[in-house]
Amino acid sequence: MAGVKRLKKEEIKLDDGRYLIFYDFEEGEKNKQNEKKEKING
Amino acid sequence: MSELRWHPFLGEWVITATHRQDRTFLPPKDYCPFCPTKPGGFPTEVPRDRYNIVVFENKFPSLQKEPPEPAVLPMSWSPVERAQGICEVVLYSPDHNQTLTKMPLSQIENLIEVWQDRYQELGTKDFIKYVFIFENKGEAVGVTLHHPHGQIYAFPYIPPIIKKELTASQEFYHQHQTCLFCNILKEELKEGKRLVVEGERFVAFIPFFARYPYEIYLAPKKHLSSLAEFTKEDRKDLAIVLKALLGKYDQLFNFSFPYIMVIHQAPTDGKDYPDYHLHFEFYPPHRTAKKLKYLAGCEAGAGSFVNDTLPEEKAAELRAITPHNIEAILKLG
Repeated sequence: MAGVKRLKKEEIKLDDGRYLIFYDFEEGEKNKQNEKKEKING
Repeated sequence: MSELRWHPFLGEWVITATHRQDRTFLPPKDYCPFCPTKPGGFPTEVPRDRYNIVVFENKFPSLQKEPPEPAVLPMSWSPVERAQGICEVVLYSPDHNQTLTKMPLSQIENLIEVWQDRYQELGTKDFIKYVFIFENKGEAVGVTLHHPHGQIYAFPYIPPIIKKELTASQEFYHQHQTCLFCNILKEELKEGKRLVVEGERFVAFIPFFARYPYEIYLAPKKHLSSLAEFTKEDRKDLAIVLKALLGKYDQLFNFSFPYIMVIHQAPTDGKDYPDYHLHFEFYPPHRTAKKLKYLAGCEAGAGSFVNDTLPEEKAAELRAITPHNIEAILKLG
C-alpha cells in the first residue's frame, strides 16, 4: 500500500546570502502504523 | 543595472537586468552547477551530495528581493521602478539526464506539491502580486543549462498576458454568469477532436485557437483557480496526464521534445478571482522534426500569430501516439 507522503522542508543560507530549500517527502508516521497493522492482520 | 522601465505604447513594464548577460551558458556535463556537489568535486549550486527536489534563489535574477535603486532617471512618458520580486530555480531531480517526461509518477507528484508550496509561500509576501511557474526545455527555446529544472518568477505586478486573460474571463463571467474556461472544456470534451489526453480530473487538448502547431492547454475539469486548491487526488491525476502528454511529445519525432511550459493561475494580490480557471500552456517550437516556428515579423512585430497547421489534425497526430490510455501510463510508473 502506498504511504501518505509528508513534505519536509529544510532551508539553508548560501555563502552569498541566497536561500536554498531542500524538499523531501517522507512517509507519514500514522500511515506506517496502519501498514504495520495491516501486515499483522494479514 | 536592473530596473523596470514603462513601455508607454504597450502599457507594460520591461525588465532590464544587465547582470544576466554573465550567466552560465551550456557548461560541460561534468561541470553542471545544478548537480549535487560530490565529495572532493567542484562546488555546485547545491552544497550536498544528494537531494530530492531543491529550490533556490536564482544567481542571476531578473527581479530581486532588495533591488538597487534604478540607475536611470525616468522619462516624462516612461516611469522607472525598482525591479523588486523573487526569481527561483526548481531542480526536479539530482539526476542530470532526467526529464519531466521520464520521471516516475511519484516524483512528478512531489514536484507538483513543491509548486503548490512555492505558490503559497511566495504569494503571501506583500510585494508579490503574481507567482509565475514555468519551464523552458531544450536549446531550441534558449535553455542554457540542461539539468532538469524549472523556474519561478514572483512578480510585483500582474504580467500582461495574465492581465488580458483575467479581463476576458471577468467579462465573460459578467455576461454569462459562468467561467469561460469551463465552457471551453465542456465543448472540447463533447467534440473530442482536439483532445490529446483525458484523465479522471485533468484534460490536455490543442485549443481551437492554437497559435503553435503542437500547442497544448492542460487544465482541471473542475473549476480551480490556483494550485492552492489542489488535493492529493488532483496532484496524482495531473502527474498522470502530464506524463502521458510529454511521452507523446517525445515520441512525436523520436527526440526529447523542446517546449515552454507555463502555469497560468490566479494572482496573489489579495483580490478574489472566482472566474479564473487555472491551466498549463505548452508552446513547443517545432512544427516538423527539422523545422521550427519562429516568432517572426507578423508575430513579433504585429502581435498576430499565423499557424500553418490545423489544431484538429495535430491533435489527431498526438492522440495516435502511444501511450493511448491512462492504464498504459500507470504501467510505466
